[in-house]
Amino acid sequence: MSRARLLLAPAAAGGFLLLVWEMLVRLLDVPPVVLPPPSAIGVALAGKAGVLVPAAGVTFGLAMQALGWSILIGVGLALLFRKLPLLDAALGPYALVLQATPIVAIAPLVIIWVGVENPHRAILILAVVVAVFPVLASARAGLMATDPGLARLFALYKATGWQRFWRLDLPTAAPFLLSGIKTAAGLSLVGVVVAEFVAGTGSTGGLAWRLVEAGNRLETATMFAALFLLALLGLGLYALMAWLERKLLS
Amino acid sequence: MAGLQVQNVTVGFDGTTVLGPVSLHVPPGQCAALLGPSGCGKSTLLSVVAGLLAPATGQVGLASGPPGMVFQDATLLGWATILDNVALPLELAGMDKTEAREKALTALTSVGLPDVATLKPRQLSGGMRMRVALARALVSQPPALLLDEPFAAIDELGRRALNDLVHAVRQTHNLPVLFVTHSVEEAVYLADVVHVLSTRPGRIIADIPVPGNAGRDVSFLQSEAFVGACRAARAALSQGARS
Repeated sequence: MSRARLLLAPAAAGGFLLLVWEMLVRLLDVPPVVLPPPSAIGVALAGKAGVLVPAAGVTFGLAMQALGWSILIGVGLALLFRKLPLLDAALGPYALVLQATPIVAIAPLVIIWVGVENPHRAILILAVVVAVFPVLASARAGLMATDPGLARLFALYKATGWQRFWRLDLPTAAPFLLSGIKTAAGLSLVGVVVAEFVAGTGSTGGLAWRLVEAGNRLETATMFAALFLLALLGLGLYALMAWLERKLLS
Repeated sequence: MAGLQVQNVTVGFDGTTVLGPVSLHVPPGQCAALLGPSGCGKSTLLSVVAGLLAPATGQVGLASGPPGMVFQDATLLGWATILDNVALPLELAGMDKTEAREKALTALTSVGLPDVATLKPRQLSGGMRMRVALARALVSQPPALLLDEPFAAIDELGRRALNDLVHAVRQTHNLPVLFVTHSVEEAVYLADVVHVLSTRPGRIIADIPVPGNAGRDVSFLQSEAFVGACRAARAALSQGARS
């Protein structure tokens, strides 16, 4: 299939679905508060752009900060675990416990700990808790994937620890790590949105809060507009990470 | 004594001796082959000579600097260009990148691959990758060349070409070469002397000199010297397997 068709096919399918949605809502006279037509969502998006777009910027910024911290903490812990296998054995299972615990369940605790007056910090911590695990797991796997034959080669030439890390271990771990970061990017956005919901405060001004706000006012079209922007953010983040992965691994 | 000297080397793991005592001497420009059953410690001995493994007893005498070594796999960095792969030993030793690359290109030319410098390892055939590994082993002008069954996975024609290359290299570089192989023919074709090892713990049970050091070509394969040395090596191998 040609590239143009590959791009056009999903666009045409999306357009068709929106058309069917619009027609069905009108024909069946569905109340807009239950399911607004796409045209109303478009109007809401245009009308509330002044509020929604900056809110999307806030959510995106928080997600990027969370991703940055997740990379720092995840890679740092993976390096520490590699250096100290006993620590890895001791703490590894607890990392799994943290990963397996739903963020919603720990959110109230984190909010109490950092104080309700610091919702920004609480959201960031919760998003990092969600996003750090794939980075840690992938960096840990990547750092253990070094080819033993190449390790012997570096030992033969008496490479220093730094030379080996920089020229062998890191390039070996890079594909693992980038794949983990790609997953973490999506999760950091999920983490920020869930944390904004749970924090239940508008002081950070993120998109999830706008969603809650619109829900409370029964402005369903605005909710869909915010959802649309959230989906766009997710897509954008994924595309950015995929581009970075291609660029670094080429 | 110049060349490569192994004196009464033994290796043990968990209190069990797995190799030795082994003693041998390879003069500069000469090739010695290590032939023996699987698990007899041939590669272990090579690791000791390379400095990758400490012997339980005995010592290795070799001029300073790490020896060049070609492993069973080409062990190339998949993300680096061929030129960077060959330059690696020099850069690890602290040489300036530009100078290292110049020397790497010379080494690549000496193994007949001057045109692949900018390619990645995955773009080369198995035989070409082994040539690159050989260039990398030679680039730092090592005191000896160690070959650990490097051509086992290469097809017959490619293997013959690589054998001829090794033969040429040890003469031009005047290097002592220690070569581990499972193939009797390969050992006899390349070596001036074939050391046959017993089963674990591997000890040298026969030293088979191969006459006709100067010439290695197709006619050598049909010579009485080649056939006779192969016969003697096989007989020693059978005896070693029974010991």
